Amino acid sequence: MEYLTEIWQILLVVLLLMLGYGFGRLAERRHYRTILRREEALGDLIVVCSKTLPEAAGAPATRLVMGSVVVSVDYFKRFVAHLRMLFGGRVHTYESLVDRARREALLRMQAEAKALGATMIFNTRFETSSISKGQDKSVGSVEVLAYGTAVIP
Amino acid sequence: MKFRNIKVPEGINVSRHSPLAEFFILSGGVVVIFGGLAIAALLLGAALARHMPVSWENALAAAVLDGATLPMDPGDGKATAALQALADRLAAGIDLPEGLGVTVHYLEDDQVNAFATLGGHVFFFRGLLQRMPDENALAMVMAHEMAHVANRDPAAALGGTLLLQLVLAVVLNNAPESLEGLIYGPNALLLSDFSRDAERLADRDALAAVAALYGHGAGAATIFEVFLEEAARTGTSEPPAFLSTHPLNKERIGALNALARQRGWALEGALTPLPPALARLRAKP
Repeated sequence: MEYLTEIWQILLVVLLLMLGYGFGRLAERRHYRTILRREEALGDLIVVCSKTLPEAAGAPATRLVMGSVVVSVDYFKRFVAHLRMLFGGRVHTYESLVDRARREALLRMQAEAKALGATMIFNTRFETSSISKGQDKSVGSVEVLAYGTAVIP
Repeated sequence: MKFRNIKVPEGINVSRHSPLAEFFILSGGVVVIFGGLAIAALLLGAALARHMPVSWENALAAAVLDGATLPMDPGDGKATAALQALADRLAAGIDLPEGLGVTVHYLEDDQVNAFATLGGHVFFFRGLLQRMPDENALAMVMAHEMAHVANRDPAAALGGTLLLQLVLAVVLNNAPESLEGLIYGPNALLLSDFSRDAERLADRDALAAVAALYGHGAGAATIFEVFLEEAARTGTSEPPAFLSTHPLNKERIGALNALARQRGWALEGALTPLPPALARLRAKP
């Protein structure tokens, strides 16, 4: 019956890959749709990276705002990324993951600023860290924190 | 200065590509590269081990078997002696390497099986001996195991797996864990394929030795019928051929018949009764 265990193990990996691909793709599509919609909606809230406020802004009230998000990688993406580790090259499957996380963090920061009645965020910064780093068995996830100084007129 | 949020075009930070295509290309590459490496390691290890001096093989076998106490057969060694006598008679028809003799052992267990290992040591389980109707059937099993010894299959299997394990250990140590299945899976298939070839060759050599001893090949296929009956009795089915270490029993019977036809060996003939010591085992419940 040993061969049954082998077949089962191979099937399990195939199943996980299919689940990862299917659900990962679904989640990603949905996420991109909301990202695009919300970026449109928050377009009037200026986000810049400059350290200082323009003179014209005067001396408004300011406040630290931030947005943070944790996005998990799916089994399929991780599997392909591991294959990449053997051959080298761009890890395409992780690019969309990090892109979604950065934009989502930025949107959440903007939402917070909007709630405070801000018109602009300056000195915007990003922090990215990986959760479950170094644990080989776990499926990794990425945390992105966006923060900046909201200008409230 | 006037600040404005301008919409950034999509698809700059994320490359447009098909993740599925990437998956198939990369995993195909892994299977081809590591599969090739594994085949090379297995064949090289086996080939090297087949050519190791007989004295090394005997020393290896002694290192394992020394100190192991095997049970005496129920006939106080008479059954083992009868098996050894049969092996000695068959030895004339089998091309054993210089210095590599066959030593037969008896194992007290219900398993319907026999196996050969390093140093020409051949083991018979009671379960198999009890199901042998005549000496011809037993001679076929004995000659098959002796052919493994003569072909140095136990040594080749050891050498091949050792080198394969070494390569796998090095590769897997550097490869992420999730890829283990991708690398291990084909290897299990590879090992069983390697083993099936050795079994086919041993069957051919065994039939030749049996035909040389008795003048015909009658009873040679009995063992495979016993295996089939045993499988039917216990309700187990044979694994699919590509996963099994042995060819399917029906295929083996067919191959024996074909070989006998080709060489002009009769498959009908007078069957020799079992020596009394072995016949007694059969009578026991």
